[in-house]
Amino acid sequence: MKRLLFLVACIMILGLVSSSVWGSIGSGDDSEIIFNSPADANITLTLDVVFNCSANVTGGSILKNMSLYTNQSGTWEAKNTTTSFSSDYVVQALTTEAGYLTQAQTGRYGSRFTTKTDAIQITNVSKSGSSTATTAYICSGETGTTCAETFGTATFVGNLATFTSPIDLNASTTYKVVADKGGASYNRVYKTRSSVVDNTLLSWISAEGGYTNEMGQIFEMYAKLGIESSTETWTRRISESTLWACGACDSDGDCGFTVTNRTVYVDTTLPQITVQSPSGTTDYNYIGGNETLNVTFDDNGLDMCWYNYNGTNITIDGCLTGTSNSTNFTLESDNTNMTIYSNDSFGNENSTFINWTYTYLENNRTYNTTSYETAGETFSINVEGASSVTLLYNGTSYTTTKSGNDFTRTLQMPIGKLGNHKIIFSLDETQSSYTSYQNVLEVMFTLCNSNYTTKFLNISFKDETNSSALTASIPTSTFNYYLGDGTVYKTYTYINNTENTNYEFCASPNRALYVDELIQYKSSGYPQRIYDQSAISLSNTITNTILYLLSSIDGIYVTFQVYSGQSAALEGVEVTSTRIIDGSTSIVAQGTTDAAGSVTFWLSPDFSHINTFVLTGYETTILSIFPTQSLYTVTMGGGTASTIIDNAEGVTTTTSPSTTFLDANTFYTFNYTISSSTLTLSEYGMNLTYDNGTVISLQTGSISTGGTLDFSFNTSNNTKLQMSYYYITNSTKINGSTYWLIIETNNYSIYHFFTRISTFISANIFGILGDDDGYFAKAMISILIIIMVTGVISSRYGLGSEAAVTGIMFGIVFMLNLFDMIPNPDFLTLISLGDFLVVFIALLAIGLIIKEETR
Amino acid sequence: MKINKRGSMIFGITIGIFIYIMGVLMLPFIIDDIDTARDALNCSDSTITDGNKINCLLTDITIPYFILFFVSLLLGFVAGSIK
Repeated sequence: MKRLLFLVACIMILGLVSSSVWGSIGSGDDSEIIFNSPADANITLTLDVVFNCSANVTGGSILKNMSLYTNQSGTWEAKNTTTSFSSDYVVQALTTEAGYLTQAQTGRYGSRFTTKTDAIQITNVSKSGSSTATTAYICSGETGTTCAETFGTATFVGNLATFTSPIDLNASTTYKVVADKGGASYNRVYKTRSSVVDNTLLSWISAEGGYTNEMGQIFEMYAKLGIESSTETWTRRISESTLWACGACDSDGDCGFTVTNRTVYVDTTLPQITVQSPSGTTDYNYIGGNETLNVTFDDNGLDMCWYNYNGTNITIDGCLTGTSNSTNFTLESDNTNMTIYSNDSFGNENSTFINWTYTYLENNRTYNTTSYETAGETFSINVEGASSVTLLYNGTSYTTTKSGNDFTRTLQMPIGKLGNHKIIFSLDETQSSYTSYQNVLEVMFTLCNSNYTTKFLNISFKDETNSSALTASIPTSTFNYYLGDGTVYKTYTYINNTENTNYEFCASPNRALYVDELIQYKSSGYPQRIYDQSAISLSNTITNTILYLLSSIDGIYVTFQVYSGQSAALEGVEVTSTRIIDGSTSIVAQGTTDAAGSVTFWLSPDFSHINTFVLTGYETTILSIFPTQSLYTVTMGGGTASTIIDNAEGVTTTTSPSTTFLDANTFYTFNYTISSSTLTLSEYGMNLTYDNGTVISLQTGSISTGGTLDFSFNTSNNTKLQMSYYYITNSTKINGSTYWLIIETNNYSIYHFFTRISTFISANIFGILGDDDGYFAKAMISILIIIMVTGVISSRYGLGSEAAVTGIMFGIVFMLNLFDMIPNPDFLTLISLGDFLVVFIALLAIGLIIKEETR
Repeated sequence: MKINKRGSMIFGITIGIFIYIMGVLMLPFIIDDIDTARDALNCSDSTITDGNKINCLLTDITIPYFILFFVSLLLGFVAGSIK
């Protein structure tokens, strides 16, 4: 009886356990739902949060589902249930053992099996191809041909019946798999023979009944292990702080959830923005140039970064937290500030306003990107912050003219230097601008040919007497041509000894070209004449020039001898002879006086000629004559004496260090300073060298009013350093030089001894400085020394000479002053008392010596 | 053997120069000791005691005084030999 009661109690306890409702369960319970992550009160930095929980089911049932609960909707609701716990199925076959029995039965029958130690799930049942069965069942509580409880029904599709949901079967429990007769005249009983067929998850049990020839109709089930524990994750996007919990249910229908709730907080911290650059004052940049923004953002949930520059938002792609992000932007006019923004995943946005300045800000520069030889090109730059600007054109320095922030320089393009030329502006000799380029092309003036076809000038010839056309040769001709102001020009020399009716000259580029012509031309029976035309502007609108010749029988040679008012022959006088031909004034002869002041023309004595004499500095003289004589003397009025140019006027130069003796192993700044108040300096420079001439530093400058060139150098153990310096003005180079002797102070000298005394006095030895910085003490000591030394020497050696005593005093005062022992009253500012006494006693001694000598 | 006045003068000058040279040759040895003394007194530090400062000054004047001493000897011999 006791045993019976114990058995009943055990059964009741087991029954209670197996049918218990979980409720709130946690870690350590028989069945448990455990929070894994995130931790309670965790602050998420991302919108997407991964919730992680584990569930463990005990008592023979299996885990059916796990759920996540959140309060995002404002109310608690079951959401996010996971049911697909998976494991691979395992075929549980009845094997091919012969011994299946088919009997004519009225009910359905099947084969029993017992699950082993693990709860399992049945997913499919298969049959043989010859079987007509249509439905399979999983049931238990077999009584005759019926089952007490059916767990699932599945229809055969082909030979496989698949349960809609896997059939959960507890561990160590007997069940039965059954198939209907499927239209056959008899029911089929599928069972094993008398022996047990042992599979991995279950064992087929033998059944009663005889043998039949229908065997193997159902020969396998697909089963898989039930899941008793699992860890599941749910990734959910949250927008605000969220309460969350987890729940789980088992195959018995019992459910539970975590004992407590957890909270996930969202990040509310603003991203931090730190700007490295641009900030403060940067050396240089230019409008349109690149500026680099280096900024560091700090936020673990950083989402976007951007900046607003001149009203435009620009995203910084791929910005990273905790590291410097670099991006370039184009500097715009009047915009040296910006606002930098960043936000994180939760929309926390921060911003920083920055502004910066430049020591030199180039607003613009103007020049022609394409130029030509001999052209005048103006280069200008508008830059803020510069007091002087030097143009570096293709490596050569040129000063500029300042007007406000504009600096301008005009250059004449040299010849023979074609291609791209660098343009750099040096700002205050300390900062270089960016580099731009100017492409210089060739300028050409030549007799027209296949390469040059744009006609600029056509020269033809006529007889002066009857205006008939002539052919003529050009023994030589010179054309100086240019595009700019003429200081740089190209020369074209043309010779053609064959007589032609005309000569056509072409040019490139197709723009106004200045041509200075000197042409010697002649024809058969016509003496040579010279056409000397100062520069005229030519263009592609062809200029026709008629040159007149006079036959040998119609003219005479006429020489003009030109003198100044001082009766000196004038060289270089431009003489032009014209006369009226066909109603208009035409040049018939041109020339320039030689060193003897004379020029000779071939002129017609039958016509009046107007001869014009021009020389800079002299009054233009006009002589109207019928040239019937072979010699005319012309006197030109005016003229000035040659000016003596003083190339040192208003120029001051200094070098430093100013002392001749320098200490060894000491850094000094050697500089050469030049300023010019009247002359324009084209260049200046200094060359610091060792004693043997080896160059230490070579520097040049080109500011028109002068500047300072300096170089810091350690004298080390050299004995002598030299500096040669120069400046160039009016194309004249003025040189100068200086030198320094390097001495090494001796630590054992009397000088060192007195220096030490001075140092110790300054350090208030024996309180000598007192309350008046040693004013009184120094004065007393100085007086005592002067009186004692002078008195002792005079007394001991019987010096009665005033001059000698004064000389001794001079020496003492000199030494005292040298070592700063003579104090200086505050009211003496122009000269120190010590210096004054030294000079005064020196003059006194000299005066006494003179007095004694003259006595 | 009698030495005439000229020989006496040459002898005196020679002895004077010899003594001067010998004295100058001794300077390097004294310099080492002066360096040692300066280091020990820490003379380059202007905050040392007044007593040490005086010692430093005495040390500094040693070499000039030494040279002056031998120059005086030289001149003394020269002057003595001329008399």
